[in-house]
Amino acid sequence: MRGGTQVLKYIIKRILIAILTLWVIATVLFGLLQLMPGGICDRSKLPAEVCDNVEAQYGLKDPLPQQYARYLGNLLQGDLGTSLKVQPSAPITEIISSKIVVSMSIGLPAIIFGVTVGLFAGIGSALKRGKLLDNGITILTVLGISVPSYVFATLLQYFFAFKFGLVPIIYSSTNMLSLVLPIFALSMYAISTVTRYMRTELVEVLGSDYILLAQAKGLKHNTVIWKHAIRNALIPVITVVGPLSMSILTGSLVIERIFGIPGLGNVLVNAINSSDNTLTLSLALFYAALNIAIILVIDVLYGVIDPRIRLGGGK
Amino acid sequence: MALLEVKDLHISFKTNAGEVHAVRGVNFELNKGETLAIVGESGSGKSVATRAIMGILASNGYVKHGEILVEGKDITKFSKTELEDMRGGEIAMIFQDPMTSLNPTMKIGKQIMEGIIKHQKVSKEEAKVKAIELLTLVGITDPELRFEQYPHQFSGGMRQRIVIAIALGCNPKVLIADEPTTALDVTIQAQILELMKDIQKKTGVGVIFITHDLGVVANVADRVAVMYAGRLVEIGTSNEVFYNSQHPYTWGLLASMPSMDAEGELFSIPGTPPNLLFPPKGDAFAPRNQWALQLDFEQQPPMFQVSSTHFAATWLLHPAAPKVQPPAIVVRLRESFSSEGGVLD
Repeated sequence: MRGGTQVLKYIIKRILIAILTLWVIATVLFGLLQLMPGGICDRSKLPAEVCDNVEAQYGLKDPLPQQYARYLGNLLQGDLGTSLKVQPSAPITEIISSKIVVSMSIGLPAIIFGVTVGLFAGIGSALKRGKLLDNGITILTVLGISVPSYVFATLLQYFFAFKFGLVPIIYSSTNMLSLVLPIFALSMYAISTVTRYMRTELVEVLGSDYILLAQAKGLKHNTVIWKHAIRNALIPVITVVGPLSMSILTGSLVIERIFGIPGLGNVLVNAINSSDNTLTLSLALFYAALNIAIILVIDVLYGVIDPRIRLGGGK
Repeated sequence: MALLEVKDLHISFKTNAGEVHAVRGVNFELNKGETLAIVGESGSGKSVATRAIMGILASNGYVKHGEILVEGKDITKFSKTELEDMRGGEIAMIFQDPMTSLNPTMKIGKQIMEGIIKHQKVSKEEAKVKAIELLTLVGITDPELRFEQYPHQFSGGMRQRIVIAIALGCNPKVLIADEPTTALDVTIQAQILELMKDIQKKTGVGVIFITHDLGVVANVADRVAVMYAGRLVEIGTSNEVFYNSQHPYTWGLLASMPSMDAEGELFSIPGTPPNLLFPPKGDAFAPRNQWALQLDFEQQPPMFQVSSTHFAATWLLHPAAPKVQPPAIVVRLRESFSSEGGVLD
């Protein structure tokens, strides 16, 4: 099928660009490590021979290009090295992979829940523009955007865990119910943002000429909305879902603290506090890769929805 | 029975500032195979009136008074579903800007098929055959390939042809064209006008052609209705309105038409149209009208009959009114017509 190969070409192009971006970021991070003051060994406190030994062990005496090549080679094999201080000698990939599962178990549901609820609330709001439902949703979304997530999280804890005792107040790896509050707290901002965007876009699309033409064809109201309006309104909304997902996944940092969740956010905070440079930079690289992956997914989704992007050109 | 009959149509919009009287008592009819042009400047109510005929007024607009009879049935009393069936099937519409009137994320073939399936009650396969026939009819080459393409792969003129194909796919009895050539360049304009004339000949559809371009009118219309500030000020056959116009507003429109042999600065009608939040008591055009009588400011002129097909709403036509000298261009048009042997009553 002609359309199919075009989609495939588009996706391959996007993946190549993603790999290139990741390489640039890895290089910049490698450069940053070189610029950092001091080394991995504090020469004011340790004998010079010890430091020489340590640096030789990590290959830091080698010329820079050689170090760089080794770094990239290790990256390609998925080896990020070992943590220096947070969990000394533990491979960083292992730290990340064990912690990301915990972070994702609240992050992913929060994204899915937030975007879904946001889309439907936005659609409802746009279709009932100026009516009671629209005004109600608008007030709630303004609250959702302006109230910080930690305030919201604390309120949730107070009422649903402390007062009513419906769910546990703190995370526990054995109790699924303990995930409910963190997921709610995380998705609040996403719900509000997506709702606002979806409402604005759908209202604009509903006022466009092609919706008028679809009506003038005698199509049923529901057909006009679902077949003609929603798809076009989704295009700009998808744009915000990318950064939004990213901010949920990284922004879980605060929520993880409040609910005592042993996730990746905690590791990052600890790594920075104890100047575990290799771990910090590896996490930066990991977050960058995550970001690129999300953008890739968004770009592909774009192409699926909008033929002007998939087929190139267009006005 | 006329295909479409509009009787004393009043349309208002509710706004924060108050009620805007966009259309204030319009009467006209359209017969089978006929082209009626509605002419007027922006805000004269011509688009609003036709959107009411389609039942697609903006949500704050409503028909305040009057009837819109489509083959004798008053559509202002239709339910939502009755309106959906009427739209497209009885009356189809073409819009001004072909760049924005097609859904950018749907293949054009599907957009044409939708109307065919709804109104011709055929299967998908038959609809596809008919859609490809329509693409050929509106002059699109390679229709099978084009069927699978998206709007952004077409030029403006091509898109307007597709919009016409969409409208025709519904098998309408009346086609409303809302300034269909305004957004196109001149050569494409001529092609689209030719296409519309050709289609009318083949299908016998009645056409309402909305425009502010009198040059286009002369080319396509059997009859012309001139609208100003929500009312018809003059209506007649094309010849009558062009060569024997009676209303000073029509004179103004004719005088402000650019022409090859005109000398000096192009004429423009002084002033601006009235604010329809506060419709004037008398003739809405009176404040901009150099021939206005005292009566024009005080009382709405009725439609005076000029011939069996020609009517104009100006007190100048009252037997007791003073005889005035119309502008030179109007005199010239009248003379050129009679010298070519044209006959007007």
